[in-house]
Amino acid sequence: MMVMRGRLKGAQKGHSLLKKKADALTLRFRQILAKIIDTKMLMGEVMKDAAFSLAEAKFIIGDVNQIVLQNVTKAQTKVRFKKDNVAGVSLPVFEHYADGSDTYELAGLSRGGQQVAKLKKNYGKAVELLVDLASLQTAFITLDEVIKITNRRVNAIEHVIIPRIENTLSYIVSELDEREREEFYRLRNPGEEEDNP
Amino acid sequence: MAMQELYFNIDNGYLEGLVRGFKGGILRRTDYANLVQCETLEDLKLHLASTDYGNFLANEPSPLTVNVIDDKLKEKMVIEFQHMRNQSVEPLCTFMDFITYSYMIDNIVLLITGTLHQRPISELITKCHPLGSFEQMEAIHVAATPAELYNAILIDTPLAPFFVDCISEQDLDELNIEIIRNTLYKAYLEAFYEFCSQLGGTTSEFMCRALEFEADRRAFIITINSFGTELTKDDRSKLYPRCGKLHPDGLAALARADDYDQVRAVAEYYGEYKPLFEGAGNNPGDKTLEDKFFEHEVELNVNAFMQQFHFGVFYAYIKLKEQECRNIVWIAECVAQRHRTKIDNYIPIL
Repeated sequence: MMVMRGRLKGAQKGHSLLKKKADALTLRFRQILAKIIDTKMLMGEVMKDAAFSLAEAKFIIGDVNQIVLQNVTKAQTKVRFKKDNVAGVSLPVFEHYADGSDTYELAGLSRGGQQVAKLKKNYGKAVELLVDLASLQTAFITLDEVIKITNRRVNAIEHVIIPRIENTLSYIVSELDEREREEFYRLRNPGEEEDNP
Repeated sequence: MAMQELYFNIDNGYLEGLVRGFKGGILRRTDYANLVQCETLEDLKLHLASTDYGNFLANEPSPLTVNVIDDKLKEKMVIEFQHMRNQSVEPLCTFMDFITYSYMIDNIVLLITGTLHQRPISELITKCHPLGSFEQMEAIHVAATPAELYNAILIDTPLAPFFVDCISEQDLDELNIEIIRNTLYKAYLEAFYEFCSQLGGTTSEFMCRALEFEADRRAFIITINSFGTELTKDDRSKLYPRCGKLHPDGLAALARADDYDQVRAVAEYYGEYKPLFEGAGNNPGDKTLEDKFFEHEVELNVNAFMQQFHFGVFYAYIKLKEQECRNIVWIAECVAQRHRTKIDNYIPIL
C-alpha cells in the first residue's frame, strides 16, 4: 500500500508539472499567433510595393522577366535551419542569409538600372518577410501538436491514472480491512470450536 | 537633294501614306485621360475599342490580364510593321531591317543565356520579340557554348559584322551577358548611323539627330548605372557608342566620371542635355532622368512627321508605337494593382 501511496503522489506531481508546461506553451502559442497576424498584414503591403516596382521596371526596360529568368544559376538568398528551445520543446527557426555575389549587378545597364535596383530591394524585403513568416508558421504548427499531446497527457493523468490509483488504493484498503475482519473472525472462531467439539 | 525628294514617291509613296495613316491612330491626350479613369481592365478594353485598336481584345477569354494586353498590343504593331516591310524596296527595306536589328540583338542575348543554362529551345523561341526573328533561330540548340554558337549560326545572320568588330571568341564565353548586349548595340548604332549618313537628304538629317540622341543617352545611362558595380572605367568607355554629340570630349569626360554630379557637369556643356538633367531627381514626385530622356525622344520622333519624303517617319513611328504600348501597359498595371498614385506617369505623345 505504501507503494501505491507513493505512486499516487508521483502521479499528482507529474500532473501539476505537465499543467505548467501546457500553460507556458499556450502562452508562447498566443504570442506567435499575434506575430503571425502582424507579419501577414505587413506581407500584403510589401508584396504590393514589390509588384508595383516590377511594373515601373517593365515600363522602362520592357520585358525584364526574361533577363532575370534566363540568367538564373544558383540561389542568392539561402535559408538556414536552426532549433529554438521553448519549455522543453524544440521549435524550428529559419534564418535567411545571402550567398555569393549579386549575379544581376549589371542588369539594366543601358536602361532602367535604377528601377532594377529598386526592384531587387523590394523583392529582397519580400523574401525576408516570407522566410520569417515560414518559421513562424512551422513553429505554430509544431507548438500546436505539442500542446495537444501535453494536454492529452494532463487529461489522461487527471481522469484515468489518478482515479485508477485511487480505486486500487481504496480496494487495497478495503481488502486489508476485510482480511483484518477475517483474521479477527478466525481468531474468534477456533475459540468457539474448542468450545463445541 | 531636291531630286531625291521628287523621286521618293515612286518607290515609297504608298508606304509613307500608310505610315502617316497609322500615325494618325496614335492615342491622344484625351484618350489617355479616358484610360486613366478606368477602374478595371474590362473598362480599359472598352475604351481601347473606341480607338484605332478596335476590337483587338475581343477574342480573349476573361479574366483579362495585363500580360495578354501587352502581347496583343505588340502583335498589332508587329503586323503593321511587317506589312510595310513586305511592300518596301531598296533602300527602304535595308533601313527597316536596321530597325529590326535592335530587337534581334535582344533575342540573341536571350538565346545565348538560355542555351548556356540548358533551357529547351522551344521555350526560348516563344519568348523572343517577333520583330527580331531571323531564320537561324531554330538551329541555335546545336551549339553548346557561345563560341560554337557564333561560329555555327550567328555568322550567317545580319548581325555578324557587329560581333566581328568588337568581340573575340574568348570574350563571348567570359564576358557578362550585359556587356555583350551593350557592345553589340554600340556596333549596331554606329553601323546604322553610317548607313543613314550615306542616304543623305532629309533622312540623314532626321535619323542622324535621332541616333545621336540615342547614343548619348546610352552613354549617360551606362555611366550612371555603372557606379558601384564591378564595371571598370575602361570597360565602360568601350561601351559608349561613338556616333553621338558627346564624341570625343564628352565621352572622355564621362569615362572619368565617378558620381552623378560629375555626369551632370558633363551634360552642362551640351545645350540639349542640360535641361534634361535639371528637371530630374530621385525624390518622389520628381521625374526620373529616364522619364526625361523618354520625353525628349518622343518630342524628336513627333517632329519626324513634320517633313515629307524621308525614311525617318518609319523609325519614328515604331518608336512612338512602342512608347504607346509601354504607356498602355503602365496604365493597365496601375489599374489592375489598384495603385493609382503614379498612374499619370505615362509619357503623352500627341
